[in-house]
Amino acid sequence: MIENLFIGLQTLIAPVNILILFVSLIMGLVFGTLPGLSGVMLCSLVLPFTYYMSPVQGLVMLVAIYTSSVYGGSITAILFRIPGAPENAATTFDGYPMTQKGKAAEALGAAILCSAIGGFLSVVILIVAAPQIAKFALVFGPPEFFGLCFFGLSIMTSLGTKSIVKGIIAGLLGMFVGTIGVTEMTGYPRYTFGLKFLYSGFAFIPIIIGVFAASQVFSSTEKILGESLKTTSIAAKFISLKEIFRIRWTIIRSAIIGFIIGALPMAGASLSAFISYNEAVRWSKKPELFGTGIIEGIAAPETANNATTGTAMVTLLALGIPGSVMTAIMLGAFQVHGIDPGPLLFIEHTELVYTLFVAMLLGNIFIFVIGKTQVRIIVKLLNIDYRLLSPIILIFCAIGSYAIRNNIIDITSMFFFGVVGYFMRKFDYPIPAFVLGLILGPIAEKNYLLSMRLFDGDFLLFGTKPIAMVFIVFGVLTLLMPIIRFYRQYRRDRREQAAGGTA
Amino acid sequence: MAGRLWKYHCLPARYALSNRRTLSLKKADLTISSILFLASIYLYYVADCIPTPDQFKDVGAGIWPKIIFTCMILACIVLFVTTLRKEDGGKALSGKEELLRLLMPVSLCAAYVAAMRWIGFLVGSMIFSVVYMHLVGYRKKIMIAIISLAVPLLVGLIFLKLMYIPIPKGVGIFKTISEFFLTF
Repeated sequence: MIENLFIGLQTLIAPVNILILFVSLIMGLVFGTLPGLSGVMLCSLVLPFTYYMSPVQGLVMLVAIYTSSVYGGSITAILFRIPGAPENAATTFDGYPMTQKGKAAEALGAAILCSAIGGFLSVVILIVAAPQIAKFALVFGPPEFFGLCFFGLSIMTSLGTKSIVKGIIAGLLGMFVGTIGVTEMTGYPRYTFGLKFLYSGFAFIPIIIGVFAASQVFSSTEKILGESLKTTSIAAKFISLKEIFRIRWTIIRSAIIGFIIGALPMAGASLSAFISYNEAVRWSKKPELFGTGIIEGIAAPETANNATTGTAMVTLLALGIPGSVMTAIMLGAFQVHGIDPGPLLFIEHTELVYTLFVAMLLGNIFIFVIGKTQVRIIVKLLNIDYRLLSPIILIFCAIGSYAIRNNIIDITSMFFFGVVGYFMRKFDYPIPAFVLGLILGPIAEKNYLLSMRLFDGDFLLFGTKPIAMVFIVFGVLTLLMPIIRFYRQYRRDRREQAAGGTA
Repeated sequence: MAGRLWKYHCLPARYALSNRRTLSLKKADLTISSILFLASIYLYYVADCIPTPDQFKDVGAGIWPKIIFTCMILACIVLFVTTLRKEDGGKALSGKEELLRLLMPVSLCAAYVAAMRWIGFLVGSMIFSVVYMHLVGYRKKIMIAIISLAVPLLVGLIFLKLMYIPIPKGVGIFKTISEFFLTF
């Protein structure tokens, strides 16, 4: 393993690769900071560029953006109560009150430190766990992969923050879009309605660009920020070792929460940030202080959201199942280079894998070293008027979509899904669930059909595959849990209402 | 979040003040679940009509869409029933003005894509940027000129010269203009 890490380091320190790493880290930091932009948007915009780079360069770029953008959003969350990305929303609860108390510098320092700790530990787990999980995954056949995909798809019930059913509907819509075109297994065109451009289906990348980047621009254009945020000159100040020791249990607990949630397909950093904040409150001896501006209130979400980055890569690299929206985009990058992530990746592309590990380690060190001095510069970028940025983003969306197949139809489909994404935001249908269905649906179908051919059409023979059954049972439980929770809450509310009525 | 709604200059006045019929989230949910329900039934039927070769028995190209739409039909029924029983959850759309505010960027994007084949990426993007920034109320002419010229040129040069990806150049005079810019 150490030898492979040195090989990865040797590959990474080639001048072009190191330049790509640092430029991407800075771009990720900037995009993560600016409200209305996000690391996901940047990843979807640069994804087409990666097609024309080597696999190492393209994936290092995406991994670097992933690592730094998760941290970037904490800056505006702390200074202006505006999270740069959804995963930084929980940081506003105590970050902004600390700014109001005049402790913005300490808050920013805590965010940098905890982000770096969470991210670094997460990559260490990735380096240790991923090859082991990959070895285990070599026993996976089509039934096991179908079970895993089913478990991954079941997460869509947890992605609808306001409605479980809407999460399911969004996921099913994504799965439907994935069925359009000529089928791989039988060569029969589905849902093309005679339109020739649909025979090859929708390209994955323009849809990603459309639902994330273009739809965000349409939403933001609608309620445009007329006044740019008033910025002040500010720097970060690291908290003392004594303070770090005092909050050590918050950091460790949040890191563990981040590791676990990061490994769940498409669960994402925002879920881990909220859960770790809740747990920090629950375990605190003085829970009433949360929300008033305390370091623990920043340490918990920032450690957790960065801790998801490494373990989200575990499921992608070892099993070929994306652990988050960003890793779903990375899956697209693997596919455009003709590389299949999964257990054989560690054998056939060892250098690439370990280069990515080293890139993530360096990225987290970079956040720690550079983050403190870059805060002042990053904050000045908030002066850029969004009305200038929005057409630039749309131009990048257009050319990025065109670059995949040199086909103007892809630009049309990108804008079409941009409108779809806009309405999904308006009507509270979660876009991550749609993307989850779009990506996992075709993989699940392929493995399901292969399994059914193996079983001669008898679905009950899945019961003879224990690993597949474990995943299927977990999937069913995941589907049912939010429904059971909802039903129990409903019964509790009814009982309380009845008790209140008789009292 | 600080912000203001930008004035939609080209809208007739009647849309600005009157006709504020909002679309409630409840109504939106009921409408969407009904549409998806009917669409799912139709698409299930289309999947059922997909022929399955004998050697694949029942497991052909139609089985997966049928699973998807069966789940969709059930989900739509659940959404419809649960929405009917709950109180209104607020506004999904604040009125026609909001929809028209979406219509502007979308129409502009549609025109941009439609025109790109004829006028090329460079010229199309320059015109697109100018019109877009003007419509969203940005008035600094020098910045508009700089951004509209610099960004498409930079993007075009990166794609063409660095990555060797051909970009649409248009036809006739527009092709000549695109090639002129790209010779730098």
